[in-house]
Amino acid sequence: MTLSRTHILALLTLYAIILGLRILVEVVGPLGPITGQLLTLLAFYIALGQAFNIFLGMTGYVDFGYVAFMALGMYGMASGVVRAYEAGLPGYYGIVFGLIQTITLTSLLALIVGGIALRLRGAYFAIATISVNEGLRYLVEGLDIWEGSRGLIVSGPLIRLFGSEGFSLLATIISDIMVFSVALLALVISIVFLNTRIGYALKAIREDEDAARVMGVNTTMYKVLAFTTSGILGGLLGAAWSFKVASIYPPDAFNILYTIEAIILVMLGGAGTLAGPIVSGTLYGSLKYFLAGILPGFQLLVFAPILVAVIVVAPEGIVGALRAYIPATRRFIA
Amino acid sequence: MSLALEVRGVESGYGKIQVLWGVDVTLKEGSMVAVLGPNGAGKTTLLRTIMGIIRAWRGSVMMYGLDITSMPSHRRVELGLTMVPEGRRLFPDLTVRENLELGAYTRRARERIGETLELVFNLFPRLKERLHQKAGSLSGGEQQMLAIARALMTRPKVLMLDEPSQGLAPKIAWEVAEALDKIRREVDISVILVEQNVALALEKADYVYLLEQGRVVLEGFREEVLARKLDIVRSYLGY
Repeated sequence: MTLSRTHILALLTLYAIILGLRILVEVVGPLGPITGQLLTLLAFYIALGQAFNIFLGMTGYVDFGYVAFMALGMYGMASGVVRAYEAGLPGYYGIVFGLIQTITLTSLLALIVGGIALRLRGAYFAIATISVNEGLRYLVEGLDIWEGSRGLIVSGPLIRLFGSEGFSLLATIISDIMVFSVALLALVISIVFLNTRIGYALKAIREDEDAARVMGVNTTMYKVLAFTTSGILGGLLGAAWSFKVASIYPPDAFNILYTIEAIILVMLGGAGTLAGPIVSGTLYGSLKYFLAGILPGFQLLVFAPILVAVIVVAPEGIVGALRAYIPATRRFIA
Repeated sequence: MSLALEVRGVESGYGKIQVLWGVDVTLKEGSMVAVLGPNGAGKTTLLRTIMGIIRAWRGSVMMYGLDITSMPSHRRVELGLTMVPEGRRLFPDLTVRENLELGAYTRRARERIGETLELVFNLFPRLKERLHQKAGSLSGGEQQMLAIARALMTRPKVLMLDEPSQGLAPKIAWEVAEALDKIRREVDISVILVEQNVALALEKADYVYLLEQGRVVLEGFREEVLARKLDIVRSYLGY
């Protein structure tokens, strides 16, 4: 797949629509069923899908521990803010410090796990990553890092640092825009990857890793690159999301549900496609939001059959199926 | 004549299971060497060790005088070594063109991609006709041609083929062999051919090695080996 200017323009338009709606709702209030909360959810799922797509979609490897990156991002940002508050520094110091912590922690985790586990193939890699997530969770609880199982309270320090008005902006529109920026950053990186040799290498790895090696692809390096990029983006998403939660507990932060949702998002939209996460994030986010009102607690029960149907009917996902069955869409949907 | 490849005392295997027990193979520049042997003799393992996909436990692999024993595969490809793996291993969902383009992955290959494509289409005109077809939709013979063409896209000096006739009708297998002759006429290349089709290998190769249980049990020029056909038959039948 070669990306044209039309493809990139179409993608950016979709992003602009959702971001525009979010800002509009902030200014004029909810537009019928379209509320700020709904758009927050959409931004989160689009970002989650777009970030995870760089690894799962482009390499075909499944990382069951992906949520660990988000958790480290949440903790990295929150503990940065708390530390700034305790040291009596202004709030933006905390945010900068939090970002540095997030990027350091997630890239370290990605390099260590990737450098070791990405030498394993397919299913063995997936199994190894489950244990990483669970291990980290018990490490945080057992060693009492970041207040351990008592939970890291963020809302207090945030209110003191930014005032209650500043805090409520930070927890809503500002963090939404941050989440949105992560999605956009993931999209831009995906475009860069696809348009360079990196895209070629990842495509060859996804199709057949042994064949990729005899063509001269340094397979381990490119897998680690995709894993680390995707991991840091997941961390940034967690960091942006941390402004919305009052306190962070290990079982919530390391909840494997987010990994499963990330897999659903990538597969539903179309693994490796660029528009996939926007389509699936919007669909999944809206369904989840509206089902919460009609059938609370049944969201996953509804999603399981949908996912099975997609895998059976359109293994290439919604965007993949569109491109396969309606050739005219290939010109502008990538 | 200089040596394209020199394998000395190579031992390797998988996990704790040793497959190769000190194999010596020499490939002279511009020649074609055939490696024969029954199933499980270690032929594929030998190629994978030379390629660097699995590590050599002992011994050395030299390419044009350079020790590549512990070099990663992608650097060996950069130096001009490649192989057509067993079972072809094409990218079935990608088109013929995309398969070829992915083959020209290394920087050295990418610089000459236009020239190489021309060469490959000249060798395999059928591929040019099927350029936009998915690789998976090609016939067995065409797929094997594409697999060889994709390997040529890396601009190899040494090409290794793992059972190119596998799964092909006898007539098609000979067509593939003819294509190899044509490649050797038109490109400066040295070839290691691993084959189950003994008649075909003996017809085309300059020098022959017979591998049995991870050791070379017989070697010689084509004519010498042809005179000892019985030994080969015995080896395949296992008595």
